[in-house]
Amino acid sequence: MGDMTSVIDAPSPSPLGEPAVDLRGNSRRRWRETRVKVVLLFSVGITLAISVAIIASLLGQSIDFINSIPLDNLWNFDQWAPRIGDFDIATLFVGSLLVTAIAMIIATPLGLGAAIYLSEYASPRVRRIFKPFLEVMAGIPSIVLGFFAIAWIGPEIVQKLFSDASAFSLAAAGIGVGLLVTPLVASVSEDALRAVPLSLREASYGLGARKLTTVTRIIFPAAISGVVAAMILGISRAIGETMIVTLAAGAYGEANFTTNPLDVGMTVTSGIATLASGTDQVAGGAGTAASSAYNSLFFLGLLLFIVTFLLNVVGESFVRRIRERY
Amino acid sequence: MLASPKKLRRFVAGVTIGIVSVGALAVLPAGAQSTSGVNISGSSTVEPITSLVAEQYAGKNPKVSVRVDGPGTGDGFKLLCEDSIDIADASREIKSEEAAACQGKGITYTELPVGIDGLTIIANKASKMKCVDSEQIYGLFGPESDGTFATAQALATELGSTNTPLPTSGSIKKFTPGPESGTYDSFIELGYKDEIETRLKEGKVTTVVDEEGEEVAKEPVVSDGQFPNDNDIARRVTATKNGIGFLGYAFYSENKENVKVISVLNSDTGTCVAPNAATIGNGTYVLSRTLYIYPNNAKVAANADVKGFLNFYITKKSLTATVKDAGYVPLPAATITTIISTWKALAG
Amino acid sequence: MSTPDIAISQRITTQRALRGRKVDPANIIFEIALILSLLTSLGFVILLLATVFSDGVGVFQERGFGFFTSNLSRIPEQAGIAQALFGSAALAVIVVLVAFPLGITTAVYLEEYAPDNKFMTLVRLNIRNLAGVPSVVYGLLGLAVFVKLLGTDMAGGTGITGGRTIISGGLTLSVLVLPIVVITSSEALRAVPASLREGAYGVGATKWEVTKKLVLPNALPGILTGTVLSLSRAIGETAPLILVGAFYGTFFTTGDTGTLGKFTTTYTALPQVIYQWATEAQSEFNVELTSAAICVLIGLTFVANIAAILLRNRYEKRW
Repeated sequence: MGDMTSVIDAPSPSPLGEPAVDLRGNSRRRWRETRVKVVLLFSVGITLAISVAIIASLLGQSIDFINSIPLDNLWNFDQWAPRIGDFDIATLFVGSLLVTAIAMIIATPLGLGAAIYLSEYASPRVRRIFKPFLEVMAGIPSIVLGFFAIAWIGPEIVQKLFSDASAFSLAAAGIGVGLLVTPLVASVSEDALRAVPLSLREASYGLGARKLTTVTRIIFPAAISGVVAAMILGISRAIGETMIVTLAAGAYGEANFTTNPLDVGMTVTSGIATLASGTDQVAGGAGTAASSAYNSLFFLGLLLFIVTFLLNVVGESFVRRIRERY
Repeated sequence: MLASPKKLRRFVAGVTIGIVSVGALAVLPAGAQSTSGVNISGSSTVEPITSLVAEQYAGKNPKVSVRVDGPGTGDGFKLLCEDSIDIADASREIKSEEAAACQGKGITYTELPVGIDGLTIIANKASKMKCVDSEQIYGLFGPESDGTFATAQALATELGSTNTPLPTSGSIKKFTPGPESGTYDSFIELGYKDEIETRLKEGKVTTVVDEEGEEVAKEPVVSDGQFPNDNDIARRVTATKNGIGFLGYAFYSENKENVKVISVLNSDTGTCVAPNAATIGNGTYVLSRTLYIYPNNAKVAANADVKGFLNFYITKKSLTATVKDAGYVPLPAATITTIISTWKALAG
Repeated sequence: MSTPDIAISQRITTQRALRGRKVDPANIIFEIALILSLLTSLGFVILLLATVFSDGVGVFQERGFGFFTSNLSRIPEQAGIAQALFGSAALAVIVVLVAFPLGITTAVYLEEYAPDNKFMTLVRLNIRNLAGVPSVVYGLLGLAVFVKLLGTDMAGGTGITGGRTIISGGLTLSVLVLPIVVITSSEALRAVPASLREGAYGVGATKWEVTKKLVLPNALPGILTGTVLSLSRAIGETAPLILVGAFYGTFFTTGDTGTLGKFTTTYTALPQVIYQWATEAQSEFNVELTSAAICVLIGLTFVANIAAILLRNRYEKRW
């Protein structure tokens, strides 16, 4: 009740206090409405313009890139070495795939476990403590996790488990990305689990099911599309993550084709970042080799954009499915 | 807890005004027109010297803006010849095609040597490798080291290497600078120029046609990662069993405790020589090379900041003490005197 | 006198029988596994914080304020984050001035004004997808549009953004967080109950009057939370800055260019300096200074995050 009065008190009383006759007749007020609408529409237009600009800038230079190189160069499992004209994107795809797979192997149990615990087991007090913690974890900048990956994950986890591995490896990067994705997986799946109506739980208990059965056979299947959404969004985030891989995966500027996660390697994102940092690629070179290397940045960006876009569309549709069901 | 919109609104207004006024404060003292400043790019090997000189210079001349970065010698020359920078750092002499690009734009420059570097081959601490000759360097890093031969030694033996064979180990991981780097070019030039030419003639090397229409090796250095920053090379060699790499001597010095240095056979004397200040200075270490800066002549004439900076750089003190501080070997005293007079003539 | 084993096992069996299903070992194991997964994440975060703090604290002890007021340097004892802090602050100011007004007004239009048609559904979908685009792609957008297109004029000279400047960087980050601002603001606006609006329309208020005097004030805590979070996201981003050409090297000064001049010349930012230092050779750089700079960055983002969470909890309303 107190809430309502304070809300009604707050706005200045002029429009509310005027007699009803005046209401739509004032042309100044109508003009103001139009003006406001124009300003607001302008902002909406900008968000549309951004999408157009992204696609236009990526597409234009990608086409230049494709036209400037022999196409069999794009898929030969040799190496990604844009400075000397070797553009095997399979090298980067496999790198991205390995990093993403390792990240999800880490993030799925950690994130899903945390989500089930918080939504089904934790007391409200425990939840109040841990939920903000996950939010803070989600706010850790990726460059920080990248530093953690080279300072700790590489030497203390990867090299301890595999003594032959380099401290810089796709595996170290993957574990770092896994930690980055964990809070996202946790929060999306927790939302999904909590969206399952209480009545389902009550019905299950009423039939004499124990808690474990209720959680694994009733609630989890009911929330499955949300959990799938969490995984898909997590994968999309992992594919797009740049700084952790740039710092920790080892290869820089060029990378040889590898399927071994303990090897140094490169992903689509770190291919972009390492080519751009510390070279004049960003300034755009004049020579032919250099300019197709510059254009390759946009080609990689376009591939990244398409893949993450598709994943996000699918992921969002799963999120909507659980929202609509309950 | 009821939300009091009034209080909240006042709070938000306060925050907004705060932020906007900080922004305005940041923008208002628009005053001074930006001076021309000194803009330097190029070799990451020379960067330690130039940035140390720049720091000392900026300390004495706080009004001048100075910018030093190190993407690589090739990138530096490209920027110099696009008129984007005032001075290019270089760890090799300018190539003829680069000089042509400068000429095309009407840009003239002066080559000023500033110090001597020894290209240093490093390996992981666990490595048993001790000394290599040029055939073995070719076997380890050259264009045919991409797995065509079972081991680097097999390739070196085919080329006629007589040095103690390389120890056998698992698959070698190579971390090197990239083609934009002068270190990359110098390494080929000093390390295995004869070998690569022989193999090119024999048709054993995959080639491409370069800008001048000549057949050159497509990938003269085979690598598992190319780094504009030499520190990255040292760190990866440190972290990788079977890791090897090469970098500038200064960067080796900074990473001395973490990596193992490999000696290089001097074919004239038949002895293995490790890089140090003495062997680099007298040239018995065969991978020694001169480091340069290339100021744009027009900028020296037109931009007082550039002239002032170089007046500070091309002095006995900078070219000996600062070069040493940066981890390199100073040029002989007589050469320094000549360079100073070259600079004086240019500066007028 | 020790009790015979058989007696103990009998007692346990009896206890179990009496308790019935109250103790379910499988469930307990499952719960422990869940707690472990939560604690593992917690453990990693604590380990991370402990590592950077213990490695970085020495810098604060030795250098004190000097670390915050020194410029970049090749000499570790003299290197500091003054330029990085200025750069990050300037980038944040641009984000506040560009992304926030655009984002909030977009949200207001979408929630309060937009007709319910296919086009608007598309616009909403588009914004949600923009929020999922990797930050490095925004860097490419910034490179193509702000650095190249707007950074050079027709004659090949310097354009309005000045090329690789804080302005280009700030605009790129603004574009990056814009969809997040729109989404969080939309959610806050949607949480204001329709009954409130209907009441105001009922007494004849126009749409803008309702929005300005009723909806916005009540949605403000939510909007504020979202904007603070997106600001903390913006100051932690590195990848876009690499692409739009923040300084990547060991030394630069801006001389006497003045504060405005700094907006149009060489710049760096806190995450970019961390990236640079993390790849240096000496442990003074790649461990100590990097950790100290990370402490500052984490400090800033945590303060922003915690402020946002507190703000939300403080003003959270149940309608």
